[in-house]
Amino acid sequence: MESVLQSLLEVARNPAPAVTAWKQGTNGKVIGWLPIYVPEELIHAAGALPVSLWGGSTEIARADAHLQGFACSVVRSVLEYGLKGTYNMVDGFIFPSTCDHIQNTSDIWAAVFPGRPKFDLVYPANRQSKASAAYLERLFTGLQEWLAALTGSAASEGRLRESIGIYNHYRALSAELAALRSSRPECMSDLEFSLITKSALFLEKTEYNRRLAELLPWLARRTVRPRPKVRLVATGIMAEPQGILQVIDELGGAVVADDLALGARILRAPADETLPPLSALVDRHLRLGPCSTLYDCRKERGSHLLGLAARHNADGVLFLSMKFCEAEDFDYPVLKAELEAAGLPLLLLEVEQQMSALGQVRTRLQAFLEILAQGAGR
Amino acid sequence: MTLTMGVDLGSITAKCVLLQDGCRVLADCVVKGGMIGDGAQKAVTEALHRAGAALTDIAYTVATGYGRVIFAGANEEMSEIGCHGKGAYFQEPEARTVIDIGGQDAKVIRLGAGGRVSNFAMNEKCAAGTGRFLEVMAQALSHPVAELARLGSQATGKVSISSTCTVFAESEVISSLAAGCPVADIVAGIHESIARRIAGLAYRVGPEEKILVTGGVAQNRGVVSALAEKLGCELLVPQFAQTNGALGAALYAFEKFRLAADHVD
Repeated sequence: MESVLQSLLEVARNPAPAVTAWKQGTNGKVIGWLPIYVPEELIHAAGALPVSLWGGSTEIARADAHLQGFACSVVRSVLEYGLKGTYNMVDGFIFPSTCDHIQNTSDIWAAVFPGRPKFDLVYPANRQSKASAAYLERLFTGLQEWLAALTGSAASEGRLRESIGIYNHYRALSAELAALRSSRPECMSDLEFSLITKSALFLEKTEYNRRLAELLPWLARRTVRPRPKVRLVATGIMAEPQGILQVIDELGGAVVADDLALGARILRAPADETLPPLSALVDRHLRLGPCSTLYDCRKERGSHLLGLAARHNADGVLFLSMKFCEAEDFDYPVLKAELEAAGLPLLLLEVEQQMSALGQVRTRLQAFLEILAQGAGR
Repeated sequence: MTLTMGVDLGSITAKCVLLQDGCRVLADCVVKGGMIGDGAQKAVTEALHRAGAALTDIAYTVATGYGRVIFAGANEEMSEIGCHGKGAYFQEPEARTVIDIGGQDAKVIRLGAGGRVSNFAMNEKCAAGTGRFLEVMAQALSHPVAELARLGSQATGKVSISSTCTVFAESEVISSLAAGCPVADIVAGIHESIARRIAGLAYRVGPEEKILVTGGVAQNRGVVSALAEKLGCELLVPQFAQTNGALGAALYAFEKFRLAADHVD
């Protein structure tokens, strides 16, 4: 079973071989999508492999010729990987209208890679009006048509229904994995959890589901670390650079729940399988959130975090602020006030995927965990 | 008699405090050369020499500061934030806020009941508003850093240093010199610039009196008074300002030793 775990960790660390192997084995198309929300089921039903492009720790050199230094590290490294040829096996790219950085990178992408297939998924900012559902249905139909042209075959309703089932199963298994790290954080390190979650972004989901289902009962009995002294909820775009998770581990803490975009946010809201398949995906998008990049008139992120902390018996919240992510930055003051009012300690850590020196991060985390340990009494 | 030791390995200096029975400072010393070189060893040797003690007399040692992870002679390591809180509360039980301005970072620490750290803020990755900033500016002005306070006190005006970035600020200082501005006024501007930066940090945690200023930069009266003016309140510089972190580490060491001894009993 260790080898199944290692295979997933390896995919997360170095996805290219797995993606290339899938492509060679199936002769299918690979579709890359940028954060945060893309109805992967449509890609899957079209017989293509969806792979998500959330950047990485690569050194930025070429991308700086096209993007300003104060763009977030996700778009800078995605562009860098594109220019380096890392995405050469990717046949088409989907750019959701998540934020200004991704929207503008889409335009730069078109100029840098003329002729490479690209689809802009322009979401409605308002998800409350009736028109949003009709608009989304048209948007997703457009995406289906684009995928059909690219793959040479249109997905039937039956195939889409099947893909929705596979993705709901993927979300259910992911929820089991998440429940396990809260009930028995001793069974895997924070880094392992994060890499398993990330590996799903590069594997065909039937295959991923098979491996994860095999792994879960084994993980439940495994012990790799002592019971954590401090339990944390992590929020933000992603828990990268991964060294941060190792530092938390070394200091005797554990992330027991998260509200990360590359984490719980994309895994929320199973699609309603009683609805016609396209409507189910529209309905799912309308129910996504809370998220800094989705308009939320009820401002539910604070109460969501408080709920997570209460349900998972967490001592504090770690806000991993992706440098230059305006959406997250604007949420922070509101969250800070709400969490402080509720007496839930919060630590803000500014992160970039390219960060290599973690000395200051370590000092902050250690001081935060020392404060929390006083109160936790574990 | 129980002797405990606190070692604070900073980016520029190494500090060591020897504590007797968790209440009396036997020796405290500051040695140039922090994490790099043998600063830590020198500081330990010097403190032991001053106290007339040997390394084998030390019951427990806690290391803190940036080099805490690489310092081999400690029983345990703790964050400098916890240690500065501890040291400050020992020196002034009414302290509610500690402003520590070290070599490469600045911290504002809020203390709650019993001197426990309740909140803190640290400067971002750059060295603006820290000891290193002062060193770079002193170099640009061709004056020793220790003389800046005296120079600044002779100012009749203040030259505004608006750049936060140390490198840009250095260019501003050089431009001001080239424009013939009096050195004293430039120094006052530098102090003001650090104070502005630290005050911004302090407002993030909400400073509450009494406020202690610690760290190497606390020795510069110019910075301390500019900061007091910005925050609109009195600031205290304790007796062990630069060695406050090491003092906190020695206090923790005493607690840890007693806890371990209780377990043995």
